[in-house]
Amino acid sequence: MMKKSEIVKLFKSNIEAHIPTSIPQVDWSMLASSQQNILEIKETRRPAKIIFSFKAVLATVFVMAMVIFGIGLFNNQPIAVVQNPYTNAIYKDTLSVSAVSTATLMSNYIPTPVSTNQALSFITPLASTETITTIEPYLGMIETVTGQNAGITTTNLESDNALFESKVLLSTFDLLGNRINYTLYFNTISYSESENESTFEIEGIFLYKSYQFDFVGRKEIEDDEEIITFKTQSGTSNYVESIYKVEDNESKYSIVIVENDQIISQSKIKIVDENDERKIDFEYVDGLNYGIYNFKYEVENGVNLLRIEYQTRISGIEESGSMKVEIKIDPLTNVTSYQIFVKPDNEEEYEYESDRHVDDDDEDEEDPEDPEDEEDPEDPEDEEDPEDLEDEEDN
Amino acid sequence: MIINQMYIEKIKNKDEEAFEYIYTHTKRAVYSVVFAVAKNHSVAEDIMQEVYMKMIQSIHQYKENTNFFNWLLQIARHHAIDQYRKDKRKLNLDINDYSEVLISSQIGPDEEDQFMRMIDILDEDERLVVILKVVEELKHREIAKILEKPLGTVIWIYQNAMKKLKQEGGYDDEEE
Repeated sequence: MMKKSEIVKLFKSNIEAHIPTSIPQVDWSMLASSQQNILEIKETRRPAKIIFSFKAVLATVFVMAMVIFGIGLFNNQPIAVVQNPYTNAIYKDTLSVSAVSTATLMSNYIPTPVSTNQALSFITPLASTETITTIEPYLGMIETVTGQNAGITTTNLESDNALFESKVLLSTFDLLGNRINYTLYFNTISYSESENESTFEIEGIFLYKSYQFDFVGRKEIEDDEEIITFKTQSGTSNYVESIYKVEDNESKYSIVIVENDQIISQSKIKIVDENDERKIDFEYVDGLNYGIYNFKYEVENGVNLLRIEYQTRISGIEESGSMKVEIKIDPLTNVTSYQIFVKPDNEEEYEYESDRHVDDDDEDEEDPEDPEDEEDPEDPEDEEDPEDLEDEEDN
Repeated sequence: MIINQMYIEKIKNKDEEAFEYIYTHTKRAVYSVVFAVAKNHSVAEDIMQEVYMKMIQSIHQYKENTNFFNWLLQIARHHAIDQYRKDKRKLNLDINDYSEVLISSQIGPDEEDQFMRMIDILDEDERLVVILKVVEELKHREIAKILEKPLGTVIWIYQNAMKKLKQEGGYDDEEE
């Protein structure tokens, strides 16, 4: 019978035995022609770009689904003449949730300098690690949805882009109180209204810092259910689709990420407001694996944190317990990370540190009220080189 | 692994010692990546040399303050894949045809056979993750950055790969 340590030893000894010991002779003349582009490097970066794009697109989907919901579900006016959603109490609540969800997801997926700290004490079985890594990409979203609870602003503005008739600015805050802004431009492609029903289809672009995505969104009525679908395309066979439904007075978002015509991720999120508390239920199913996480915002000793109760079944191992998520700030670099205290019901407590993907220039976020801060979506000067951002991620 | 920018600057100035330093400190990881793709030691050795030449050739493309180690491993991976595509037949040598390798290897034929059997049941991603994990002893997070995959995916790949290896090798659960 072979043991794991023997597998490791076998791999190690075999590979190490074959590593060439002699240092290759360098033809330094090659350096002289070093200006040539090395396509290989660029090609290896391409997947990162796709991954990033998907992350950002995923967040975009949320933003747009929420905006569509806000604009279309509770407002029977054509989008072009929509009033400020915050004049309507129901509308305000809905948009608050949607804006926070989408804003935080977006900020979560922007590449940032990575914390130099690694897991503080990473002594847990892999199944437990997966318990955390599954929700890692969503922590940013959850953070702001549950975090500040209030500071969400949606502003309908006159479009300053000749290609689009509507412009919406979304502004929200993360757990540390930093403001995050988003700009949406769109046109109404179709709009129909009957006695109790309205449907529409919009098309537009979503801007967040230097990134821009195309989208199509529509609201439909199917079997007395109002469904809002939002689809963002990235490449020919890559897209993210979000379907928003209200069922039994509960709003749920189903998200499907498709890459190369293959579904690579599916999850559901439910947002519940109860007794002045905002809770988020996150659920994913991946084959036989599943996880249910209930998130809640709390303040403990003056520190904003997320409290999580979870139940998972990963690789046949069932686990339940609680987590506490705090934000840690590196005093030297100011880079923030999530410090996660995990307390499984049947195992020892441990800590885990996770990168927090928030741009370090959040403090310089544009003020939605200040037109001078707004980026011109058509101005290439405003665009950063995505490669540069990827390089930052590499650090 | 962090390579001091000083060595990179020295390489730009054709400094042999700087190259030796970088080679010494990165050869194991580079070889691991190349072998994971090529699945053949003698081919991996050739490709490895080419990778360092590529590195020299493209050193001016390297962006300061980014992770040189990751950059080098990405060159290694891509170049190995490129070579694999160019000449599959060359790289797909019979896994049992490594008598030449054994001459200079400290590994016994049984161990080599067992190792190659295990390598053969893993797909390319699994080989990369497992070899970088157990040979180079990188963290999952570091591997995720090199392979440009989500951390969860890398952990998942590692888990699945180890399961396969345990089954192939008759793993004893008590060890874990």
